[in-house]
Formats: sequence, C-alpha cells, structure tokens
Amino acid sequence: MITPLVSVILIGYNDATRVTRALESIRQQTLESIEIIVVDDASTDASAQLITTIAEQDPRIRFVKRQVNSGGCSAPRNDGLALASAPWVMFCDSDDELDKHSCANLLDAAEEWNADLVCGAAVRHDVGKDRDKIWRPELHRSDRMVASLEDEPDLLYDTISVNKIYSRSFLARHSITFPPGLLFEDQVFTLQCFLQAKRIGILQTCVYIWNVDRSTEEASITQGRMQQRNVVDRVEINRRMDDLLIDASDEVKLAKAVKFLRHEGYLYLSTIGEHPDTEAADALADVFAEYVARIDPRAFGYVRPALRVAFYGLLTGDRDLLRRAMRWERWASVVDGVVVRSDDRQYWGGSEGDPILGNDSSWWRDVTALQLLDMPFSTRRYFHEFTELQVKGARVSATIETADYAGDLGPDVQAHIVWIDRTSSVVASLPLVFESQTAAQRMRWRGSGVPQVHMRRALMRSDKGSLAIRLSRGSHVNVTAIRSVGAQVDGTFVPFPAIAFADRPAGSELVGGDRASVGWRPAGIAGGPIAWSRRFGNAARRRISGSTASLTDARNALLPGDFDLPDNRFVVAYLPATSDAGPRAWPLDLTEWDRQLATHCYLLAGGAIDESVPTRLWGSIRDARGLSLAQILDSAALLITDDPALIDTVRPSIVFRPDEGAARYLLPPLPVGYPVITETAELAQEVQRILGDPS
Amino acid sequence: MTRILLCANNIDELGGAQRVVHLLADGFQRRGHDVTEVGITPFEPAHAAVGDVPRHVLMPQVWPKKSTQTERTRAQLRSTAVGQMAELLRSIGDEQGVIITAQVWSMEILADALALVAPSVRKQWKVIGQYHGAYAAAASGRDLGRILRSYRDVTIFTALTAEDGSAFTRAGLRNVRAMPNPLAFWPEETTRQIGPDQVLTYLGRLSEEKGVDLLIDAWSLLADRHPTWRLRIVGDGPMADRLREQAALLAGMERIDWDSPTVDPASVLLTSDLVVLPSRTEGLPLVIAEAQGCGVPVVATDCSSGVRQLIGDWGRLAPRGDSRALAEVLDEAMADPAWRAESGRRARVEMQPYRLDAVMNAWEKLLGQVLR
Repeated sequence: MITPLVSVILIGYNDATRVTRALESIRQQTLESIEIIVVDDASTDASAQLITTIAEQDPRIRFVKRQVNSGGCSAPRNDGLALASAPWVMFCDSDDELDKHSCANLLDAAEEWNADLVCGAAVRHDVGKDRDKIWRPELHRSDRMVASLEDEPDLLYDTISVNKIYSRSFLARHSITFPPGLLFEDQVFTLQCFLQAKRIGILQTCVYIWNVDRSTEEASITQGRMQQRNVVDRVEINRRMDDLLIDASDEVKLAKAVKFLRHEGYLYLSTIGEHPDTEAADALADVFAEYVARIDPRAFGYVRPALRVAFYGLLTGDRDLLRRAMRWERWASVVDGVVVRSDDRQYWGGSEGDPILGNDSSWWRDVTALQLLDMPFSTRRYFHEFTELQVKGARVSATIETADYAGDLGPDVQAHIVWIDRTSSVVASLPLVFESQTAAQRMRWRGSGVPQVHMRRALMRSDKGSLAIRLSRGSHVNVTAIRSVGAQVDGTFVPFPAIAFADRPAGSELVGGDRASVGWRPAGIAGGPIAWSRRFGNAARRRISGSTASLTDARNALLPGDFDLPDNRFVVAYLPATSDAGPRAWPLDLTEWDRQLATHCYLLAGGAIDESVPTRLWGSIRDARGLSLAQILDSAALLITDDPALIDTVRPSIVFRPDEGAARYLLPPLPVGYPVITETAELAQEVQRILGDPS
Repeated sequence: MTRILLCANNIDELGGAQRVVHLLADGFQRRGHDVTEVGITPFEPAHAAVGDVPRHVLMPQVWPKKSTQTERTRAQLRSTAVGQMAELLRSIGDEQGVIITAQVWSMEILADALALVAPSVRKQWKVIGQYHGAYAAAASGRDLGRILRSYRDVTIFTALTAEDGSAFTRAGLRNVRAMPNPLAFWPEETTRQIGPDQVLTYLGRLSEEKGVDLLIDAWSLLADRHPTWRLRIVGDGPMADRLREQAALLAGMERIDWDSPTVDPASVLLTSDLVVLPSRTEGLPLVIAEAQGCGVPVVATDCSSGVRQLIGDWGRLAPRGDSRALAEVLDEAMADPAWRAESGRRARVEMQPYRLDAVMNAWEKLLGQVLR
C-alpha cells in the first residue's frame, strides 16, 4: 500500500445510522493516500459490524473497538492518535462528514506553508431545514498564515478540533492530547495547539460538514446544559485554559475572557433564566457565578448591554432580573423591564443595586447603546404576554400584560390583538381596553368579544401566521408578537364565524411557537354552516358581516402607520450598489457601525440586499429596504452610497465601497474624482467629522 | 510519465484557448508525458497542427448553429461526442490518467462521458477543469451556474488568479486552485530598436469589450501634447470599420497606424514604447504579460483581478470605461521616460512566473498533488 500522507481518525459511539455516512465521506476523499482509523467507543449497536464490512473492502481502514466505553471523545481520539502513522492527522465525528476535497485542501496548504496546523471553515448543516451556514465566517474570509494567537486572537472562537489538519510530529513534540474524562475537551486541545504553534494556516474553503438536527438535538443539548455536570465541566475546562494562558499577552487573555462571556455566558444565562426548576437553576447559577466572579472585570465592558445586565442579575443573585434581561437576548430584543433616563444615559430598571466587581450598579445597567428610549415608536420591541385567555362559543376574553418600558403608553394609545398572516396582513383583530397599571410600569389590557375578521373569503391551509399586539398612538403603529409564558394557550380554538363557509376551516387554532410566541393555523368545525348556526347562532354571523365599506375600512385602519424617526440623532441613509449576480449581503459591517455610532446617528439601511437588519440593532439602524427611495433621501442629513446614480442626490454624500476582491467588478464602476472609503472605522470617523455632535 | 488528455471545445481554431492547449500539450509531451489533444467539434478553417502531439476530434462534423432544423443533428452529434469521449476514457488500461478541460462545454461533455463508463474506469481519471475567464464574467453570464453544476465534484477547478479563485470559493466551490496561462514566447533580448517616433501600441482584437473606442477618444485628447508619439493599433475584428470612422473625425488621426493581426507579436512589442489595454472587461490578458516580458511598460484599465495581478505596482491602472481618465493616465506615462524605463525593467522580472517553464513546473506540481 502507498504510504499514507494523512491519518483521518473517526470516532463514534452507538451511532450506527450515521457512522457509515461519515466513513463513506472519508473514503471518497480526492486524496487517496490516506489511512482511516475508526475508533469505536464500545458501542452496543450494529456499528462494529457495519464498519468491519466496509473495512474488508478498503485496505486503508483500520478498525479499533475499545472494550470499555470512555463516556467522551477524548480517549477514542487519543487512541487514534497513538495508532496514526502518517505525518498529518485529522479528526472526524460519527454524525458529521468531511467534504470530499478536505484532505487535499488541508494537506496542500499545510505542505505549502510548512504549517503546524491548518484550519478550514466548518459549515453547519441544518438537517431539518436543509440549510447551510458557515461557522465563524469572519475568520475564513481569505487564505493566510499567521505566526501565533497573538497575531489573530479571534482564533479563540475556533474551538473545534475537527476542521483542522495537524502535524503529527508537532503534536508529539509538545505532548498535546485530549484531556480525558471531561466534556468540551476540544477547547483545551485546540488552545494548546494554538499556543504552541509557530505557523497556523487558515483557509477560506469549507472542509467540515457539521450536521445539526435541531428537532432531536436542540432539546437534548438544552437538557444537557441543565445538568450540573455540564456547567461543572465547563468551568473546569475554562480553568485549565486560563492556566494555559498564564504567559500569554494581556490582549489574548482579555480576548479569551470576552469570548467566554459572550458565548458561554449567553448559553448558561439562557439556561438558568429558562430553567423550569428553581432549585436546580440556583445550583447551576452558584457554580457559574463563582467562576464568572473571578473574570477580569474589563471583559464585561465588551459584552452586549442586555447580557451585561443579566450578568449583574447573576452576580447579585437577582434571578428575576437575569431572566427578564435574557429575554432581550433570546426573544429578538424584546424589552421585559423598565428603562429609565438619567442625564443622557439610559438604565435598565433604574440605577438601584449594589456595586459588584468594582463597578457601580449604574455601570452594569447602562443600556444607552441600545437607544431603547429613543427608538421610533414603530420599531420598539414591546413585551406582551397573555395572562388569561378563554373562548366561549365565539366570544374571546383575554387579558394581556405589556411592559411599558419607556413609560409613555398613555390614554392616547389604542391596542388590539391582531391575527397576522405570512404576508403581514391583518386577518382578524380584537380591540383591547386598558384595565389597570400593575406594578413597575406594566399595563393590563382586557379584550372581550367576537374578533372582527378582515377577510372576505374562506380560510385556506396556507393562511397561518402569528398573534401580535398592535399599539397605535396618533398615526404611528407598533406591532409586536404576544408571548405566552404563564397562561396556556396552545390548542385554543378561536372561531371566525363570518367566514364559516361550507367545508372550510372556519377559525384559528392557537399554537405555541418558539420563543414563547403564539401562532395560529386554520382549524375547523365539522358539519358546515348548519352546525355553525347551532353552535354559535346566526346572531354571531350577522354581527360580523357588514357592508363592504366597513370591512375595508377596518382592514385599512390596521395597516402600518406613518414613517417615524427618532428626534435625538442625525438620520443617515445607506444605499449600497448591488449587482444582479450572486447573493447580496450588507457590505457595511452593521454591528461595527452600531458600536461606533448608535448614539450619534440613526441609519436607514436600504437597497436591494438579501439580509435583514437584526432586531438587536434596531435601536440605531432601521431596515429601510421596503421604504421608497424618496422617503429615505428626504429624511437623510447624510448619504452613504457607492451607487454612481445616487452619489450627491443628498449632500453631503460619502462614497463607501469596501474591497470585495473579484466581486468588485460586478458593481458599477465608481466615478473618478470622489474619494472612496473602504473601512468601516474610517467611515465612522468621517461621518462624525461631517455631522459634528448631535445637539 | 502520465497519460494526459487536454480537451477544448475545438482545437483547430486560431484562438486564445487553443493557443493555451497547444502550449501545454507540447510542454507536457516534452517532459515525457503521453499527451493527446481532444476537440469536441471540428472547426473550419482548420489551423494546421504544429508539433506532433496527437489530436482527436470527437464529432464527425462541425457543430451547427442552433435552429429548429439542426435540433436533431445536434442531439446526435452530442451523443456521438459523449460516446467517443467514453471510448477514450476506457482506453486508459491500468494506469491513472489526468484530463484537463479548458472550456465549460468540454467539461459538460466529459461529465456525461464519465457517467457512461464503469466506476473502476472513472476512478482512474483525475479531472482538472480550467476556467479562462474572470469571476465577474462568469457571474454576470450563464457560466457561473454551469460551473457550479459541473465542476463541483471534479478533482480540481483552476481559476486564473488567486482573487478570482477566492470569489469562486465564496460562490460554493471547494476544490479551487489558481493557475495562470503561460506566455508563448520570451525574448532573450529586450533592447528596443529606436525609431524616429515613440509608439503607443494596442495589440488585440477590435471588439466591443476591448474598449478601443475609448482609446481613440483618449488619443484625441492627448495627441497634440505629444507630437513625437504615434498610436499603433494592431489587430482586426467586428468593430474595425466603426473605429476607423470614429478616428477620422478626431484630432490626431494622422498619427494613427492601423496594422493587421500579426504572427510575430514579439517584434511589434519590441518596437513599442508603451502598451495600452483599454478593455471594459477581461480575464487574465496575456498581452500585458507578453508586453511586460518584452520589457515594455503597460497602462491598463482596472477591469479584472487578472489585470490587477499583472500590473501590480510596476505598471499603471486607469479606471475602466472612462476615456478622459484613461487619457490622464496615458498622458503621465507618455511624459515620463524615467518611469517607463523603470517599469519595463521591473515588469520583466515580475513576469517570470508566467514563462512557459514556470507554468509547466506549476502544472507538474499540481499533477503530483492530484495523483496521490
């Protein structure tokens, strides 16, 4: 047999349905001179038989079955490493796959650069939705080699061991193996490699297909995080990593701390916040808080404001604060709390509380960057929840509570429960009446009656959607989803007698959605109109059917309101040029823009772009893709564009076109004589120079 | 010693793709490989073969233009071609072979042929698909879709530059390498024959995308300021008459020389003081490398990654599609003999990687990687 150039180590435990797929992906590599070491961790299913059958046909395969299950990934990988004979090694998990060109790509690059290890991109493949998403795309924009972690601290975010190729002599020289007996062993292994390496290659191309089956896995992963062992191991792994980093530069140590807070912090605070069992949650919180309390306090300054508030809740034992602040992180930026203005800063829940880790409560609670109090009314993300819902016949009676976080929902505000379909049209609505103000700026509304239906045809199967609360104040409208946290609304049937035509679904069944949202889908009553009449009475139908005009009026009355803008900042328009060829993402780094300019400007981001603006940025960036060009240009004090047709339609204009390699030739050429800015940081500076301070 | 098939849509035409195929075929054969050139369709008039690399044309007659009358003939011819290609693949015996396709249609025919042969035969062939256009050209036409469909699973896809390669990778290919095309000639001496005038040369086809109309407009703005210069336009094409008409109305027309296409580009370049490429769109235009290889400085429009790579920081870039801006850059270059001398000297050094030997070395290295 030809001397193998790469040893690929495949590990598995009781994964007979998928391990052969992984094995096949390795056998199909375009690089043929490989040895394939399959280490089975004492599976009790058919894995061994299946692998042996394949091994009989392929002399490159060496099959090792462990006698005793190790309970993790470390021991099997170490076993494979000990057996490997090729100068380079790679790892693969039984539920994933290698792309067929992976070994060739990684080997060619490793030889070219004489690297200690080379990292390729991993792609997360959502099995259910059949969708691919590159993991850590910002790390893989180009091929390059770096000398150390110090040159590229962001490598700390690339914690997995399977998207890489390693020099076997490099691993042996530094005695780098996987730590046994712990979860998250990848992280320590990878960090050791990065710290010891003198030549780290990074490739743009995808080399690893990370299969994610949300339907089966998300539940088990979330369940797993609720277990004590999980957080204990996580903390232990991080302690070991901190030890490894003792001699690293301050910059790298801080980067590691920030990464932990942003990534692991988010995961565990979500778990603690959403844990149904209070005692278990407290136990998790204790272990986690003990580690978090020892982290460099500066790291918290680099964390998103709401997450920082949640950390404050963790560290002061205020679970309620933690849970509500995490809803901003988890439920698309919904604000379940009170935001208070003081001087020119904005604080979540005021400034009360004790100092922690050398910082005042006001430092922790400062959410000014989110501009929650200065967001236009229409883009606010209110927290509404059902506290009660009953349906008797065709009459609905509901109680809703809304967190009036800005404290400005006065008697001039009207509210409706609305049934929205997938095209964002209102299908039905029920007016709400303000009932009382409960503690801490929470408003209670009551609605009772038969929902008014705004459709004139029968429901079809495709008419599903979600439930939301529509608030209107003057000509401005806000529509935000209703949540159902305490009250059980799943399965409730709300009939729409006005459109109860024969043999058609004639009502909506409420369905619990993700993030505690409430959706609806068409559902019916057997028996057609006669059964309807008996059950609901003709009176119900007659009340709903009115003249055509009144139906149309009702529907129009609920359409989105006037275009509103904040009045505390300059409005800036961003209209990038696009080409018809290829997918169009925002050329501007919106997160970076928000970080630099949230308090100075309000950005209207428009154009023919295929990405939406994430809700976490809505405090300072409006998704203006649906607005007319005239509306955008009329509102803007400054225009940023690289579309030659638009330059100078608003003065001043800035020409901004980041360097996008070969794709730049798909965009219209820029006119000569205009200075072009290519970096977001430089753009932010120029914007501030032109606009000056907002008054 | 490897069995190598080099495929192009046709191998009889006197065109860029064919020139590359002949150069590579000859280069491989000299290095001891067993080479055959494969053309899908014959081309008339056939350009006589130079050298002794065996040729094989798959279709018995010329591929006709698309029409309702030719539908059936085309289907039959395509089927024949696929069958013939499959036969060629089967003739491999026990060894491993490499097929290098130079054009997209060739790859599509090959893909069908590979599907016809036994898996054991399929495994013996490594496929390298070359694409001679820029990413932007592929993405704005039909090619990108065809490439993503037919090249994703082959062993290697080569783009002309690393930057184009990166764009193809972002588009979804995972087997990308960069491989330039080789220069056909490399003069030993680059000393210019000094003539009475200084010469600005355009050497290439007279077609829309080459932007010669922009060059003529630019010349009309420059000509009076540079009385010792002449503009020499060497080549032919569909726009020839229109360009002459355009020039006739503008200043400086008496100092424009119109020459027909040459079989000796070296002598044209060695008598030039400055070469200009005013294209609207390009891939990796070898005329820049040829000029610079002859020690001649180049001004080119920034219309592709390939142009940028060849011009580097030793040549001069002008904005594309803008005759006034082109005139400004040419003006500077024509007024600065010191820059021209330095640029020509540096450029010749920078063009070494495009010499035939260097490119053949890169190919052999790639073959070594592909066959292991």
